[in-house]
Amino acid sequence: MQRFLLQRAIQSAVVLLGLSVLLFTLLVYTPGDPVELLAQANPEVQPEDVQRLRQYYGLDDPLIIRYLKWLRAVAHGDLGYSRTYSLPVRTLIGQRLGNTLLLVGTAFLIALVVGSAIGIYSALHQYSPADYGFTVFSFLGLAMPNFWQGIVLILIFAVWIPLFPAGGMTTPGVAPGWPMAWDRLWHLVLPVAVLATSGMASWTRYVRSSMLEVIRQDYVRTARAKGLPERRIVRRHALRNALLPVITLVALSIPGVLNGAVLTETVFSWPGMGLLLFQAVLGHDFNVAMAVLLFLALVTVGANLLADVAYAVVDPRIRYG
Amino acid sequence: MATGQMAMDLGRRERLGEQAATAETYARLVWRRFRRHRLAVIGGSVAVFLSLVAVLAPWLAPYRPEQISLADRWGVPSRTHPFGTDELGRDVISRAMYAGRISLSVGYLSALGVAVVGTVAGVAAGYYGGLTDSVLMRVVDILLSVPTIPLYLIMAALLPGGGVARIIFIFVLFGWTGVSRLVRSQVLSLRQQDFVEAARALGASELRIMLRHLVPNAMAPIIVATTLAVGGFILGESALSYLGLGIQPPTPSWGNMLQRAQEYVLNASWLALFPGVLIFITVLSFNFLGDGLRDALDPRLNV
Amino acid sequence: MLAVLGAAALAGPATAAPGGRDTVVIGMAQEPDRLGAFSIMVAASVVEHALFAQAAPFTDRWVRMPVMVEKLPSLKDGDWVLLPNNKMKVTWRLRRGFSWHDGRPVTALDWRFTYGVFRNPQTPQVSRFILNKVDNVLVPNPADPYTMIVQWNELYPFAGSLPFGGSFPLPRHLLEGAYLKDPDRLPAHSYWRAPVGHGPYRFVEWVPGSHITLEAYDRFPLGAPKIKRVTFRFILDTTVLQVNQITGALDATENTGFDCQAAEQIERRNPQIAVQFREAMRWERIDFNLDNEWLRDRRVRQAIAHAIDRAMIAELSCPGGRQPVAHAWLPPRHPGYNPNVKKYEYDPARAKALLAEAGFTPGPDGILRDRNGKRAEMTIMTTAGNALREQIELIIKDQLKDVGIDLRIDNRPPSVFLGPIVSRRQFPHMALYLSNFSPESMPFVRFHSSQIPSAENNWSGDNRAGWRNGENDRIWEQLASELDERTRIRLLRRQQEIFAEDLPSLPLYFALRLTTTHKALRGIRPTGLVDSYLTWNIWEWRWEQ
Repeated sequence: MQRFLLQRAIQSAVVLLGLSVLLFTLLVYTPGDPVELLAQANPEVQPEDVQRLRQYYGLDDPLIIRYLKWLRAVAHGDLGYSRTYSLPVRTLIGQRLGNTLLLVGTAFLIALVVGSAIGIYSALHQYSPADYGFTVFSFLGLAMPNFWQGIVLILIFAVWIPLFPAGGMTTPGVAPGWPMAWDRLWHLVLPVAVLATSGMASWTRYVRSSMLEVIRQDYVRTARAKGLPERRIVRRHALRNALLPVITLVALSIPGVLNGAVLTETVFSWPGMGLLLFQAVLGHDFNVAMAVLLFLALVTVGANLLADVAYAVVDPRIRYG
Repeated sequence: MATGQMAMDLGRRERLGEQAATAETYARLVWRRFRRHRLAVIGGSVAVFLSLVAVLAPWLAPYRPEQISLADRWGVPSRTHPFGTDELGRDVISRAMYAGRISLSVGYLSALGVAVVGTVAGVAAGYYGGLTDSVLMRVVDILLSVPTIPLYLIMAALLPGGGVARIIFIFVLFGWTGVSRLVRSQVLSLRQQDFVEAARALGASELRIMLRHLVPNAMAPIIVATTLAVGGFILGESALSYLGLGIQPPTPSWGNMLQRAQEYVLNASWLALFPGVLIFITVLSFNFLGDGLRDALDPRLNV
Repeated sequence: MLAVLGAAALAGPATAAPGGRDTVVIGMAQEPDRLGAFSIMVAASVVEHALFAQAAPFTDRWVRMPVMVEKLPSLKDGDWVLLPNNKMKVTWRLRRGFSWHDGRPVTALDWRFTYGVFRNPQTPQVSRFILNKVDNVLVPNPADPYTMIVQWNELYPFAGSLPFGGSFPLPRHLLEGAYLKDPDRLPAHSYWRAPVGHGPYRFVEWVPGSHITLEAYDRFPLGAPKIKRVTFRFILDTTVLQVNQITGALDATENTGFDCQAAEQIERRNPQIAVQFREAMRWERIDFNLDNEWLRDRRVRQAIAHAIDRAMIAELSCPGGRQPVAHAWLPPRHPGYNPNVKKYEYDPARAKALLAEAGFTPGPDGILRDRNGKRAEMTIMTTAGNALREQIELIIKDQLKDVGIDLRIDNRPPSVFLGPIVSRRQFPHMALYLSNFSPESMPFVRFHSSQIPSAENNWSGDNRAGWRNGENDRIWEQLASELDERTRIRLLRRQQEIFAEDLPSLPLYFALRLTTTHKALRGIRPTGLVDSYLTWNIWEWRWEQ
């Protein structure tokens, strides 16, 4: 077990290092930089100002030097400074992380719980009208472009019937405490609805098929043959084994969930990591883009590692090696 | 537990049907199973229909897609313009047909590219094992550990132009990992089986073993994954276009029509409706199709 | 699901009401990076105008109004003196009564400190164009910290507009310690995220990604602000911003990216909101690449001008005849505007004649061939994702086709287009974009032939068309140090005649700036200029009873 863990940890570290090289190179070679953009917007900026600022921000160093400098700083826990926010990247990520966790976490939990429940129900009532309905629903949810759903929801629930805000996360000046909590919830509804739809759809499908596979297994049949009550069979035997693969899937689904977050946060101007990343890439805020991307990778790799461990603990049949 | 009982009955009936079918050829079996999947048949038909409309767009479209008519701006859907007109008075249904050519091309070609690259990488990793396998699978790990949209974003900002080839290149570059994992695991289990050992003993070349024995036996999951990928890449194109980095106007794609329409969603909501619905229907069709193919091709799941 | 929606909806309206009558909420499509100095964003300037008083901001009539200074120095009054060797000395008298929001008075020593900080090469001051012309800033009499002298090392026409290029001082008592300790670390100081200013509003909070809130500062010497609180909300998506203005969650918008159509939608859907259209110095044009074998010929450029219906383009971008077609680069409101430059009316026949004169003959496919039989294919480039520019390109493509030119469209993301493509002249034929000017701009770098970017000069200079014209060059050399306003105006007018005749760029229109404001919000006088647009007189705003 220890050897297995060590091996996986080393693997993860290699993955992260490789990724940092890849992303760094891609970002460095992306043409256009903020200093040139600035020169366009500000009538007073002179060409020599552009030269000077480029030097000031270290944009003219060779790739290797820049990478090694960056790596050394990161190794010392210094993620650098955001050019467009004038804040240490660490602070910036700290501010945004909570917002994303709130949005993505809420949506993810709703999707997982509701989706699993529907999936289990569907599997136990395979080919029933309800199963059919849920299957169609989950297909609909998966096929709908995330951002389009957002636009449609804004149009319906913010413009035509103005029930919810069209974006943002807070109403400025709301009193702290309960009013603020309500306000946050009120802003959460539409983006969570968008994110949860597609998530719910995929969980329904995963859990349904996993459950179907399990209830066909011999031990379930045996249990049935023994005349155990159906409820007990489901609880004691089927559910546990059906939800086992879901643990891995939770980890594997994280990149996909974050994809959704980039789009949803952009549509709803939700100040989270997804929006931050999008703007950092477009605005050439190098340190921010690197840090957010690697953070996302770290979460994914970490979740994978954790899933392996959890799986190993839950299912003793897994061998390590 | 009436419904549970019903499900079991159904299952038994299907199993009986399957036994009867063992005498038929594999293809006929697949077709029979596929036909039973009503949604898949509908999905397949819709996909074929949309593809045909796209191919025949130059003959079917009532107007030239780039024909500007400022007098007819913001036309609501009508008999002359079933989908209305856009901000330059262009006919939206004609544009949607031409856009279908682009969006579907991106979907088909990206999926094909992913299938080819993924199969090659998967077979190589699974067959050779060792260092090849480790390196390839680490690359897969790396690519799978970042959300794709940020990677697309970076690549789209890095590569100039806004054409179809660029998008496909980006999608294939980051998209082959899933297929390669699938193929690798298939190859790993096939590698040790008797017929492969036999072929090797008979002195068949590596390439022959791969092409004649490994790839065909891994074909079912590849086909399913590729079909599902078509829809996925159409969604991907629309997402990239929404973020302003996809196919560049004036070439219409469903994604960039939708992106543009979003700016006018208050004056002309139909502009956002039609391309969105088209993407939705297309992706839905391919997903149904892929699901049906999975059930038909992989008997293990179809009890 | 529906139950959740319902419950949240019930809670909504109570908190959804706009700021109320003691608050004004301003929506912006951009969030500042920092406040106080070294910012690279327009949004920062908008907030700074509320937090910091300005020495002499531009009013909505594009004249400078002395706020922190008693008067603007002038040669006539003798507080602006010419010295030998083209040096100058300008004496400024500061208005008393301005105080930092912590209560300390604002004095000339703050100004001098600010000059030192900006001048230091270790600080990322954005523009040093004016700073480099200043030798020193002195406070001659310690007993009178309200008088300062600015010593100029060359003639500069606008030495009497701003003391040394900075428009407001920084607090010496708060920053000098950190600055002296390590000038390099000054840009990372926490001050820039929570600045103590001296303007009509004081800083309250900054919730990144969401909003900045300010509160009225009653000791503002031009009169206590009438509205208690100002909130700047950052909503980066234009459509979402638009919806928020329609639903009344915002009282005004600034720096939005709204086009005229978006503004009209807002007006139509929320009758309480009014749109103000402001003439701006935003010059939308097409740069020709004069190194191109065809475009080198003036007749080809003029032919393209005749082939394009620019009135239609101006109308498309803002319906209702509000937006004037541009014939040169200065708008009618600028004193240097010349109404009598050569104008190129929409005249395809004339365009064809000019092209024939330049040696083009029709080919079998309806597209022209040049003398060597080469097909007349050209490329136009602009910022991808800008709907209006893409529409303009399509119209131009259509109209150029009528005179036999096949136009290809090749757009790039703004960072790429405005970066390498434009600033390194990598557009083969035409580049469609916009330049901002200020009323005091003397854009030598944009028009002088020494300012053509090339590898040899390390891509410096903004003369992207690659324009070379002797008389034009001489005018710019003279303008850089011409102190007499009437001479400057005469030269600018002449320069525009040369420009319009030679046509290195095809002017399209002067893009209006739009402000949407609540009708009950009075006293808003947007300037239309880049850096002092909406908030320059925020202490005068009030809610109508």
